[in-house]
Amino acid sequence: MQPILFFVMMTLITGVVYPLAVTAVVQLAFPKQSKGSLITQNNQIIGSELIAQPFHDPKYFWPRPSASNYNAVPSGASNLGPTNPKFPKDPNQTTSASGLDPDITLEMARFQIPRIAEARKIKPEQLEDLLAQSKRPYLNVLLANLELDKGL
Amino acid sequence: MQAFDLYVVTVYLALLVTLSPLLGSYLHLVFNQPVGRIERTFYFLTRTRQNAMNWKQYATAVLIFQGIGFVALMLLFKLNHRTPISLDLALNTAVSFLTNTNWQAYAGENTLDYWVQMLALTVQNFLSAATSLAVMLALIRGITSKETQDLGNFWVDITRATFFVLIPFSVLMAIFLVSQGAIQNFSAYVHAVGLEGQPQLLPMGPAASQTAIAVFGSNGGGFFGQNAAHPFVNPNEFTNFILMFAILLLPAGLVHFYGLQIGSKKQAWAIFSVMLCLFVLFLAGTMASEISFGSLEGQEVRFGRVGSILFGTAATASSNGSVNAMMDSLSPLAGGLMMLQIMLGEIIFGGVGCGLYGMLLFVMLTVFLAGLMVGRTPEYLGKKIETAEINWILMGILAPSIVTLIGAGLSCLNAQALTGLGNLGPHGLSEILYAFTSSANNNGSAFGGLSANTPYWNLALGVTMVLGRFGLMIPVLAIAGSLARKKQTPPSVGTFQTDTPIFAVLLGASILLVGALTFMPGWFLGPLLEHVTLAGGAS
Repeated sequence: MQPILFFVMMTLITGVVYPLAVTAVVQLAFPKQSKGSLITQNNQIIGSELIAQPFHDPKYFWPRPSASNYNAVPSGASNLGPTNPKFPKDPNQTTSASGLDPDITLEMARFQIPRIAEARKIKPEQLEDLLAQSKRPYLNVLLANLELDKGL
Repeated sequence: MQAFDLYVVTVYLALLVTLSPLLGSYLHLVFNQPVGRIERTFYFLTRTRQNAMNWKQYATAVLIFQGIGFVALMLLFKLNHRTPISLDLALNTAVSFLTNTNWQAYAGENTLDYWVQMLALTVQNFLSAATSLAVMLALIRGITSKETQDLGNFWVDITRATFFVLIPFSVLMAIFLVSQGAIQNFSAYVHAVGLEGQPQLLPMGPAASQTAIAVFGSNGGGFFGQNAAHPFVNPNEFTNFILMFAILLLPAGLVHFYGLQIGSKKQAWAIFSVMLCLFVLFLAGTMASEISFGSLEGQEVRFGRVGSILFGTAATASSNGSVNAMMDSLSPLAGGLMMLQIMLGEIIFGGVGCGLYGMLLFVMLTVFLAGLMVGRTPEYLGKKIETAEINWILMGILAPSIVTLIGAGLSCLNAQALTGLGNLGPHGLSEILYAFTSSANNNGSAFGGLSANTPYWNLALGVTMVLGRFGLMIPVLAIAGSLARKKQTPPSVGTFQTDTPIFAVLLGASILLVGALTFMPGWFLGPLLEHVTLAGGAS
C-alpha cells in the first residue's frame, strides 16, 4: 500500500503541480513566448517566428529545405548518412535537424540576394545592409521577409 | 570560426570545473540534513517508514517502485487519445522512461496527449533519475559504513533527490527556457496561414517543463519528436548552451559530492580528472571530424557547429538521450565517437547517479588489477575487494556490453530488423549498433534513420533496456551490501593509493581497454569503415 500511495503522491507533485505551477508563472511573465511567439497580421496568425514556413515567391528569402516539407506535426529530418548517394553536397540544399529551422546562415542569405533584388526591383546593396544589421551570424527568414514587405 | 569554437568549449569546461564543486557542496548539505517539515509531511501522507534497509530490501523497493510505474504507464498509454498506441510501442516506451533511457520510437506531437506527456513521461523523468541517485547513495553508504547491513532507505533517498535537487533545478530551467521562446501552455494546436497563403498546423503544449527535467535527469526524452533540435524547446544559441551545460552539471557535481561523503576531495578529483580528460579527448575527435567534414545536413543554423557537436558529445557522455543534431548525418567519426562514449558504459560523467556508480565499478576493477600486479589483496578506501565483489563488478560492467553485441549481431541476421534501416552499407551497421548501444546503456539517443516503431525493434530494444539497466543496478546494490558488511582496514604503507595521478592514468587506461576489447570489431566495420570509404572518395 505504501509504495502505491508514494507513487501517486509523487505523480501529483511532479506530473501535475510542477508543470501547472511553471505554466502559471510563465504565462504571466512571458505570455508571448509561452504561447509560441506567434505573429498576427490583419487578425490572422501567419505563423511563429521560431518555426520555418515555406516560401517560393522569388521576392522573399527562402528557408532551408525541410525533410518534412515544413509540416510541424510531426516534423522530421532526412537522417541521410554521409555516404548515402542522396546526401546533399551544396550547403544551400542541406535540410535541418528539426525540419523547421527558422534561420539561414548569412552566406545562404547572400546567395539569394540577386534573386530578391531583381524581383523587388531594388538594389542588392539595400539587402546587403539588411544582413549587415543582423546581430547574429544568421538570419530569421520570416522576420526578414516581414521586414522586406514593410519596405526597406 | 574555429577560434569561436575553441572559445565556447573553453568557457563550457571552465564553468564545469568551477561550478560542479559548488553543486557538490549543495548536494552534501541536502543529503545529510535532518528530516525537515516538508519531508515529514510527505512521509506521513504516504505512510512511509524511514527504516534502514539491507541491500536486498533496498533492491526489492527499487523493483516494486519500477513495477508500479510500469503498470501506471501502460494504463496511461491505453487512455491516450491523440492516436492509439500499439502494445509493442507502449511496452517499449514504458520501459524506456522507467529505465531512464528515453529511447523514443514515436513523435510526441502527433502521438501523445498533453496530460499523458505530463503524468506518464514528466513523472518518470523525475523518478527514474531519482532512482539512479538513490542507488548511488546506497553504494556510497556501502563504501563508507562498517560492519553493518544498513544502506539507508530507498523512499527517503528518492524523495530527497526529487524535492531538493530535481524539482528546484527544473523549475528554474523551465522558466529560463520559456523566457527565451520555449513554449509552455495547454492551448489547442494553432492553425496558421503563412505569408504566402499556405496553411501550417503548429503543435503546442507544456514543453518547457518536460524539457527541463529531461536534461537535468539524464533522461533526454523529447516533448517533440525532433527533441532539442525543435525551436519550441531550444529556441536559440543561449538556451542551447545552458541545456548542454545542464546535461553534465549534475553528473559532474555528484563526483564532488562523493568526495565530501567519503571525506576525501582528492579521491573525487582523481575520478573527475579522468572523466574530464576522456571527455576532452572525445570532444577533440568529434570537433575535428566535423570541422573537416563541414556539412550542415541534420543540424540547426542557430546552434552553430560547436553548439551541435558539443551538445552531442556531452549528451552521449552522460547517458542523456537529448539530441539537437541528427547523428545519422554527422561525419562518420563524429557519430562513431559519440557511439563509443556510450559503449564505454556511460561513465564519462555518465547519467545522474548511474554515471558515478558505473564509474566506481571501474575504480574497483582498477584497484583489483593493480592488486594483481603487486600481489596484494586489493582494497578500496579500506574495504577489501574480494571474489564476491569482483564477480558482481564484472557482471555490472559486462551486462550492457554483452546485451549490445548479441542484440546487434542477431539483428544483422534478421530480415525484419533490416527493413527498418534508413541507410545501407557500413552506415546501416552503425544504425543497428547504435540502437543497441544506446538502449543497453540507457542513453536513448538514436541514429534516427532507423525506423524503430516496428514490433521487432520495439520489443528487442525494450528487452535490451531492461537488461542493461538492472544488469548494472542490481550488481551495484549487491556490492554495496557486501562492502557495508566489511571491516574498514586503516591504510598501511603497502596500500595502493587511489587519489594519485598514477591511479588516474590506470583508471583511464582500464576503461579504454575494456571498451576497446569489447567493441573494436563492430566499431571498425561501422563508423571507421564508413570514414575510410568517405575519405577514399567512394560513396
